[in-house]
Amino acid sequence: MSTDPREPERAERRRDDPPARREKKPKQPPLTQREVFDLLLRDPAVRPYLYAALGALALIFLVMFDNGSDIGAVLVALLGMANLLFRWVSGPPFLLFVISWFALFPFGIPEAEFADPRKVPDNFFRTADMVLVLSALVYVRCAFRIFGLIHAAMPLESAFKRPEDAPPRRPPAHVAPNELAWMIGTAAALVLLGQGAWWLVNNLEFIPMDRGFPFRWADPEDVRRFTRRGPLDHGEFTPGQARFFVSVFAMFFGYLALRLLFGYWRLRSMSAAEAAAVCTDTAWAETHRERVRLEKWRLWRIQQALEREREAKRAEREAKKNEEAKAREEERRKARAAREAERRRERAEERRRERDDGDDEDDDRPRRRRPRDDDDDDRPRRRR
Amino acid sequence: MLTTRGWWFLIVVLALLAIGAFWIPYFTVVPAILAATLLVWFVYEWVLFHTKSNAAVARLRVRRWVLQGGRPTPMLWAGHPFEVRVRVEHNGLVTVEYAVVEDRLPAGADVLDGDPERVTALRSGEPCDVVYTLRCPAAGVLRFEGVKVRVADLNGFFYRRVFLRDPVEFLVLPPLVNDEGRQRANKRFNNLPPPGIHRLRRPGSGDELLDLRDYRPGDPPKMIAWKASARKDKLITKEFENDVPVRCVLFLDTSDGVRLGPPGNTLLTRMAGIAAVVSQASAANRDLVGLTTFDDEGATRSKTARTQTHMIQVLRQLAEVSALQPGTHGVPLDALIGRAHPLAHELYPEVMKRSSNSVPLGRSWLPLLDKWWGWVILFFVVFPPCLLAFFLSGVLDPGSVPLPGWLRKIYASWLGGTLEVAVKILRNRGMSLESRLVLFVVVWFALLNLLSFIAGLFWLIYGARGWVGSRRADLITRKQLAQLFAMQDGTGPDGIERYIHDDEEFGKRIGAFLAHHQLRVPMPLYDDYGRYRFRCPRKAEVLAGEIVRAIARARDNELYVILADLTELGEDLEPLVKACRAARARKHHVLVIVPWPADLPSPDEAPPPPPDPEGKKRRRHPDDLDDRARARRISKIVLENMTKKYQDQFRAIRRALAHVGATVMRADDGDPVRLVLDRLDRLRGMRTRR
Repeated sequence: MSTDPREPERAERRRDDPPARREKKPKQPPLTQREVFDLLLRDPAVRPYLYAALGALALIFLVMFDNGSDIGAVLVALLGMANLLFRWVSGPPFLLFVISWFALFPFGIPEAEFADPRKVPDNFFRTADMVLVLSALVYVRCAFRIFGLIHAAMPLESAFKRPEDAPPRRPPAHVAPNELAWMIGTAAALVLLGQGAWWLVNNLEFIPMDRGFPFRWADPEDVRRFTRRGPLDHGEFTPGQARFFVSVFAMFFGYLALRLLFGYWRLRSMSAAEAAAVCTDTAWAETHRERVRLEKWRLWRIQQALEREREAKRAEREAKKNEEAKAREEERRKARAAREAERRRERAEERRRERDDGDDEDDDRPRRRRPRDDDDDDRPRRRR
Repeated sequence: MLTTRGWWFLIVVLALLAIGAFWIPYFTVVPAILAATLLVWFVYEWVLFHTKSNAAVARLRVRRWVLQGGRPTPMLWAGHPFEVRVRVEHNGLVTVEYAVVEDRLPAGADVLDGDPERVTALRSGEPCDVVYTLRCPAAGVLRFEGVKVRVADLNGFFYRRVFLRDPVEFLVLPPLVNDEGRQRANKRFNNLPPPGIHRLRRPGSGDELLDLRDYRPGDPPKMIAWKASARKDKLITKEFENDVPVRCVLFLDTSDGVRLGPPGNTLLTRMAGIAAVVSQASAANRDLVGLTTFDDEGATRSKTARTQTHMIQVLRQLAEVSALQPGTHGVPLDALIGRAHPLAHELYPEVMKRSSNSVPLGRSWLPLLDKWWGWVILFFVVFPPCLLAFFLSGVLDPGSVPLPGWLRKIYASWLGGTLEVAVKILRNRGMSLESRLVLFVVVWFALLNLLSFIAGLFWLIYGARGWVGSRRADLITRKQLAQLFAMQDGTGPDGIERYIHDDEEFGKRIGAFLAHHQLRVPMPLYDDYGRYRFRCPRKAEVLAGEIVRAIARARDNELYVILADLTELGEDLEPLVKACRAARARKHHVLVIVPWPADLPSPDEAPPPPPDPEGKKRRRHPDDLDDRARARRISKIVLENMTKKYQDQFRAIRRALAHVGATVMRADDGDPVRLVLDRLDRLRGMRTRR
């Protein structure tokens, strides 16, 4: 409770006071679990996504079951459904690890399996793998879109996050009718692209010592290169090493190219305020050391001036105090002198009265005035 | 741009790719293919989002219409709803599927209908309209900053926020008078002169007889009182009273003390409301109204007039002063930064983001040599190696200048001691001779320069403290704000560094920034000594000067209505008392209306009976054991005491002003508007004596 009597925001308000401002409430409070179920099962815009995700889970289940991973299939299906129903946003990436684990160990238990280098060339564009990957991709995309509808579609920025703020959800009405079809179509294309990328990195050889382009096509018929062991020729790499270099090369230069392209585009579309900010920031970054020195010196000077001013004021105060003390002392001295004079006068008056009282009252002859004891000065006296 | 969800997904996919492609590809290729596909998808989404971001989001434009009564208006009326229409569009070639368009609501307005936020898809050439209805409960200035547009992909991996700045301000005029202020324009009583006129006992051209006097040559014959002339047997001339208009001058306090409170609900807003109703009612009565606003530094005055244009001008002035915010002097800098930084991030995202407003790591390094003792540390860093070099040069080159004898002796013993320690350290190490020799040289050198090493370590730790803790975060916050201010002021990099170093300048600039954007800061009302910070004692002087000035220029009897918070002034009220005395001496009327806090009991109410000292013995209160209950009890006592003090102060000023003939009333006591209008009526019908 504030102790300020002026604070106008109080619980008790007078009738003639203006109405209190409305308290800000979150526009979209988080959904309850029941609302989530309702939205998933009854909303015509959300339901197709749910069905697509469940269909993808069913396909994953079938492929994994076909691979002999029955426990894994059940686990993936259960986990996938739980992710959706209970809004586990971190669930889909985790599900990828679970699928990978059961692809590696179909029974779920690590076992000593011999490495087979032929698995790489034998699994290019394999239908079962493509179905599994397509299902996983569709599931992940559906899951993230469903999370956007039932949980959060975009983040809150912490710089100005208020307690009442909740992450915004995408309203189901915003879902376009053909969105799901597009999503599944692009997923199929992406699966083909992914397979192509995998095929590409396994069919390129890295030859940095060659004078020309450092990559060349590997012989697709030559399966023996996957089983190659031992020392290699000068400048040659094993398929694993080549795959690594090709992947890194593709990712690095791909990223660089995209970054340059979009960076340049961004510069072209930059607003004047942003450009001014960049220029100011650069100018500051280049000169801030000198400016720091200048500012420190300036502040030091200001501090010195303030200190001097304070000193001067203090000296002035001291002088004034001294003067006042002197004046008081003078006044006191004068008052003491005046009191002394007054006392002396009173004493003289009293003595005179006593003397007058002691005289004979009947004797009315004129008397000569006697000089007073304390009248030792020779000032002229007033005649009676 | 990349959200947390996006980062995590990317990390998981890359990890899966690394495992699947480089670790287990000969066992299973499923993880590798899966990761490659997901990575391709991620890149696809990234490219798509960037394309849309650059092609569409950067081209967004905004337009705004504010409609009241169905048509665009440059000014608004308080209490009346008005419609806001915002149109966002772009001419890019792509479509942004998911965008949240939100118009930033101005302070001091309530949403009546509609939603300022809209989720939409931004298609090329298809505008997105946001329509909603607002109402301002009080007069002031309504500032629309612009529109916030947030764009994200449908998976929540990428996100971008832009703020389409479109700052525009609308004056919210005080409401037009209601039935209370809608005064008649005709005479209610026959003993009253027509509206706008009052009788002044000075010879003039009025209707009422003022006096009879001897005829003077030049007097018009029609003014001769023939009956009186016949009776007196000499010519007598009639003199009539003068008809003059009534003038009402409003003095409105706009000092910091009355600006406190939430927007639209300050004491100033309430007083401005009263002033608006009084001025409109007076104008309806054809009385002249003038307005003088003052604070503790100066005053702004407008002449008395009764035209419609003048009335609009007065209302504009009232609206402008209603939007004033208290100064931020004395507010802790942290509190100011805590308000300004989020606001700046919200309104100027392109200036505040890291890519255009950064702090290099070296800038956070704490320079040791700023302290005087830093030079001592520097000496210890530099001296041992220099001494060693000097000593070695003396040994290697006998012709060079040797060290002084005493120093050479000390250093030789130091060399011997460190050599012994180095030998002891490396004595029982199982290493080859070469390794031992190299290690020995290193250890011995380290021991020789131990002092330098320790001082250097101290220097490093001292400087690196700027990189950890809140120092760096504070510096980044401050630099970002400083750059924004420097850009707005046009001071460039100089301004940035000045704001970083100078707390006072920075605080002032933040205050101006917050006032400009109409964001209020919680104010500490009392200083460290428990004194009220918003007394504004000089305002009594300023007000007194303005009253004296008005008296000097007054033509007839006028009514001075002072709307001011004078309760805290105490001794400083004296100039105002003198000015009121002068006004009364010139037969003007003075009415003082003091705003009264809403929750404070009236000073005229009977105080609660004191507790019976016999009936209640002092015992140890159970609250004493509970700190929170004790704090509550103490704050209650403090509140009671402060209330009592406030009431006493009000009584004191009422007594002081009533003593000189001014009427003092509280703004919440009855109807101040009615009182002012009645007083004007009295003034109109009053027969004054001069």
